[in-house]
Amino acid sequence: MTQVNRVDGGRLDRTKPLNFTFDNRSYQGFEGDTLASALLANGVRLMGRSFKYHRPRGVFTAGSEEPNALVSLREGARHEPNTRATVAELFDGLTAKSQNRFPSLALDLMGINDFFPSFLTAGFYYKTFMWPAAFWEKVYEPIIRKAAGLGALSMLPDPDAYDKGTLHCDLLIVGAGPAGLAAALTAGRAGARVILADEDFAMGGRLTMEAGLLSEIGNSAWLSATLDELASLPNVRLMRRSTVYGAYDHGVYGLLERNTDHLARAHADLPRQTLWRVYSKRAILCSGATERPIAFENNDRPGIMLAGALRAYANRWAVLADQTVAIFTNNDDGHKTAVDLMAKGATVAAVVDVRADAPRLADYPLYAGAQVVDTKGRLGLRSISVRLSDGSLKQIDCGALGVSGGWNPMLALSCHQRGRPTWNDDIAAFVPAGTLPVGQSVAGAANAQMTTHAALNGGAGAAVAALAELGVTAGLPDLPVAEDAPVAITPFWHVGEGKGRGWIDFQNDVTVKDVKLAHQEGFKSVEHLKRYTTLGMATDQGKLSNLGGLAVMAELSGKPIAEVGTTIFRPPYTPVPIGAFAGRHRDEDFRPTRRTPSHGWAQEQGAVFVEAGAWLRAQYFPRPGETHWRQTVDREALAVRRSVGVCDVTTLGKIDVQGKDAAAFLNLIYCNGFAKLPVGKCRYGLMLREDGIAMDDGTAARFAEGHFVVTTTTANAVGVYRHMEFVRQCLRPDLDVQLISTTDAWAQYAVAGPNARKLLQKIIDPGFDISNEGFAFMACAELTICGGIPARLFRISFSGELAYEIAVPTRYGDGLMRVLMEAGAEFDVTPYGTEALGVLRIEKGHGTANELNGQTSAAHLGMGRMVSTKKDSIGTVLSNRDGLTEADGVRLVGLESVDGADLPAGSHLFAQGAEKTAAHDQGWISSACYSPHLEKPIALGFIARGQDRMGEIIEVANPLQGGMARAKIVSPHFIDPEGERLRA
Amino acid sequence: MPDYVLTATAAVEPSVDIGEMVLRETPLALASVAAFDHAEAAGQAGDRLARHLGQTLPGVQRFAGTGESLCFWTGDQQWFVTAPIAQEHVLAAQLSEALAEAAAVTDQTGGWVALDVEGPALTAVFERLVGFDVAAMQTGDALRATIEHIGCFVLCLSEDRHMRLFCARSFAEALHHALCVAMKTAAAQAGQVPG
Repeated sequence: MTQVNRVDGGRLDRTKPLNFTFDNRSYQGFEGDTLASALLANGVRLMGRSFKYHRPRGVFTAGSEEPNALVSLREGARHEPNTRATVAELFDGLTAKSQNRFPSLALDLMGINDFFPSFLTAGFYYKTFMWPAAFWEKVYEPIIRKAAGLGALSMLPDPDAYDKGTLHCDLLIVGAGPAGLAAALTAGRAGARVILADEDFAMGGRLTMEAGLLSEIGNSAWLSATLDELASLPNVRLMRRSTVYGAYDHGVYGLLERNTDHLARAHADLPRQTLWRVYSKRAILCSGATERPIAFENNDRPGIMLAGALRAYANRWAVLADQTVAIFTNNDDGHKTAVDLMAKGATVAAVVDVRADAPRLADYPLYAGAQVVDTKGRLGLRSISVRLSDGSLKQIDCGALGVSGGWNPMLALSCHQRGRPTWNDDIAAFVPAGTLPVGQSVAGAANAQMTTHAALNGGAGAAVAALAELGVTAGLPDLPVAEDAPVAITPFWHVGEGKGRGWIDFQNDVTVKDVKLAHQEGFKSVEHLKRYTTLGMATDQGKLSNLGGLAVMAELSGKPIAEVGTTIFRPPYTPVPIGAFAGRHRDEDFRPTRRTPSHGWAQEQGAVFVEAGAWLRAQYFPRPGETHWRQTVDREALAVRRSVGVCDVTTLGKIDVQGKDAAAFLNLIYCNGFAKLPVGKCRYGLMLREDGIAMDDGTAARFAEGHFVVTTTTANAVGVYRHMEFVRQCLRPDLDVQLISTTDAWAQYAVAGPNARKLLQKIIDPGFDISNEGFAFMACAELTICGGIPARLFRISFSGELAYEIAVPTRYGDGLMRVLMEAGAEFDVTPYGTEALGVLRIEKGHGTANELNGQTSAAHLGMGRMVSTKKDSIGTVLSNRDGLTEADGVRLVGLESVDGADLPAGSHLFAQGAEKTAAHDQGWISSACYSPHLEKPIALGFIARGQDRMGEIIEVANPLQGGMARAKIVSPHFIDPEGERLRA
Repeated sequence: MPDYVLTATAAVEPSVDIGEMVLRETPLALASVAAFDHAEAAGQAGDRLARHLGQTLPGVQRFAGTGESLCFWTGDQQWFVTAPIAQEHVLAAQLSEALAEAAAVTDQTGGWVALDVEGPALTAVFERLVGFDVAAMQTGDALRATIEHIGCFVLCLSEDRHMRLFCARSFAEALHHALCVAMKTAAAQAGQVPG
């Protein structure tokens, strides 16, 4: 028998033994165990080391509030530190390791900290490492960082998948204990859409952990009947292993569902966890209560735990933490633990009750009016010292001690909207106040309904009330006869006796002394107390410790606890992995990718792709033998200038503008005139922002009197469409015009080069004349190709060559690229990517987003005269303001490298010999490339008085990369400044 | 015979079976209709469109019609009209003629892709993808949604059993991928696919 502390009963499947390891030792448990219960069953009390002092620690609770038993689960990339053993569901093959110890859990060298507690008191960071100042960064901080923390990360990428989604319900019920089940039953039977969520893998709450709450029907019978009924209702969604971790605005809750954490081997398509956003019309918080400890000297030894946890391990998991146990309590509930443990065969060595009038519930040694003042047993509890009511001291041997200081409603979710709880003297605890999140109510122990009877009725009543607000009439279900003993408690927070340390916050190693020190040093506000001592931080968020700290502070301040108040409650209620927040949005799924019509074809060609916003565009098409991207790009650019090239330009925004006022609308959004553009023609247009800065440019084509197609840059496609809709709906609703994006509707290719016309003539259907005379520069037409497929043809040029853009409905985009390649073979047609596109447009001096960067005006771009003064258009007035038009402002110029050195984009421009300081900065380079045509590096840039400085040699400073070059200022039109090629 | 034949291609792989569900692209002719102001005031656009389609126009966030011939609401006095793909080159022109200057008609056949998802318990798929209450969707609903940042229309052709999604064609593969992931998860969770 390895499970030395396992007893009969419990809610385990003993036909399913599970093997697991803890610190490389093998153990066995059963299905239904948690790691904590299984370790206790195997006689393992020591499970961890404390944060600061490396004190030996064991499990303290049986739930998600656990501060001590933090372990690392699983191995390799799935290694997860700081996991609470109390909520880690056991599975076959689970590997767990203790943390924060070296070399082993039993012998931890850092335990030396425990012998120098005076160095590690509250605020020790701030006091100890003050001098010398230079030591902080290089010496102290690295040492502190190394010593701090508990578990360590694997430093490997998380191999698991996470998911997220949205749920909607009439009623969200948080917690499936007696109150939550009664609420779900009430609402479920009334036909409401209900979500019942519980963080546990077994629903039932304390019904699973207590004996005899439902005296007539029995806990198990009612629980299984209720769960069966709820499962049968299609309007009820039961969510186990699901923690509601945050209450947000308007009835929205965050819920983390753990799908596979409890499985040895999960389905490959199942995400590990799912983060649900729950939209609830109403919510009932039935999160129950958690017991709180009492502080006394050495109250943190393995074997000491909450009395209710001791009872839960016995009843639900059939585990005795030790064969000989003692109880220390200030309320009647502690006595119930003694009764339950005796029923399971444990020897109760003592029930120590601080109350002189303590009741006796069974035949156990009762010490009324007594206190536990100290304990012994470094790696596990051996005995307790009890100050009896007569003042004498008594040593009592025991291996486990259950401590009960009363029960605190778990009200965190009632306070996530900054609600402040109020103090309730009856149970000596804070309870949710009237300032609840919208639509939320609280029932059961979370609302101070501390008996099972009260919880059942409270839950059902809350459901009836919540549904009534939604206009749904619900009847109260028949509820079972349930335990209804009144709460009898005498508040008692810490034992005053002894000079040693009594722990309030186990997870952060905060003692009563630390709180006293904080008070003495002026950190009296609860929020200051928290930051100064770290009380209430980390994974348990002070679920056990906060009230203890407040009580000590209240005592020192001479105020009632209610006046001391609580710290702010914030989500998450329990830790949520960052991976769950990311959900599916990681790696290549971080955001969607847009694909061009020729994407598949480009992939076949071995294209290298580049991200352009959400688009993936072919950057260049390497051919065998090309070892550097520049070789490829040079070849592609030269091929366009020599014969013909094809580039996918579908990504440029296309906006269909229709209506009788379409021309007036374009006249408004473009600073240059559009009203007189003939049908069948395109025009280059420049859009200004209201403040006169250039916003975007492109061509607009007129297909009919009331029909234009506006083209935008790829980068601004969405922004320009949004701007145009704003103008249409808000600025000029009187204009009768409709807009719609057709970016995706048309696959559009630039066909550029001296042989462009010859190539297109091969595929355009007979009857359409695209000769230079019949289809001159800036013409546009709707026609058909390849035997009747509709197409649009634009004679526009971004490269400076004879060029067209041809568009077909996108379903034919892939086919058109293949046809162009086939038909163009005789011209050695060359596909070119965005890199060559950039080279060609820089050689021609065409600006793009690099030049229209939100800082430049039409005048800066050398297009000042385009801003029409004969009409009103957006930005015209403010484009004339100071700073945008002055004669000595920057102007777009071309730059040629003088000595062959690169001219990196982003470099700044200086007069020769000028000091390279901001005061002498005259401009910058916006775009740069190597021009295979000119066989030298060239660039576009902005420089002060650029229009008057043609031929001047300037200096190009690149302090970021440490380079310096000389360049000659030239016209930005490096190629064919007269435009003869594109009109050929 | 023309020298070169231009063929249409599907936006995504034709059909994928996942568990008891199937995801496929349904090629459709598609055109947008948006009433001009002058016609809107007189209700001409809606009247003419209804007459042309031979059916009552759908209400807000609804669609009318069956199969491949649908008309769904996309905004105030705005609709998308779908038809069998064989009409891809004529749908917009026919609508334009029928509406007679009362509305802007734009061919969107290449612009939008229709992806159909069919199978049992589709709520489990779509509750991972959309923010609205998909379980409350009824046959005939046509809702706008953002799925993985992708703007979509989600049409409920049969409650919990048949959904048709429209997204811009350049996003089709990304949406297809997102649907596959959600369908695999739902199928695994429902035990439709052995692990």
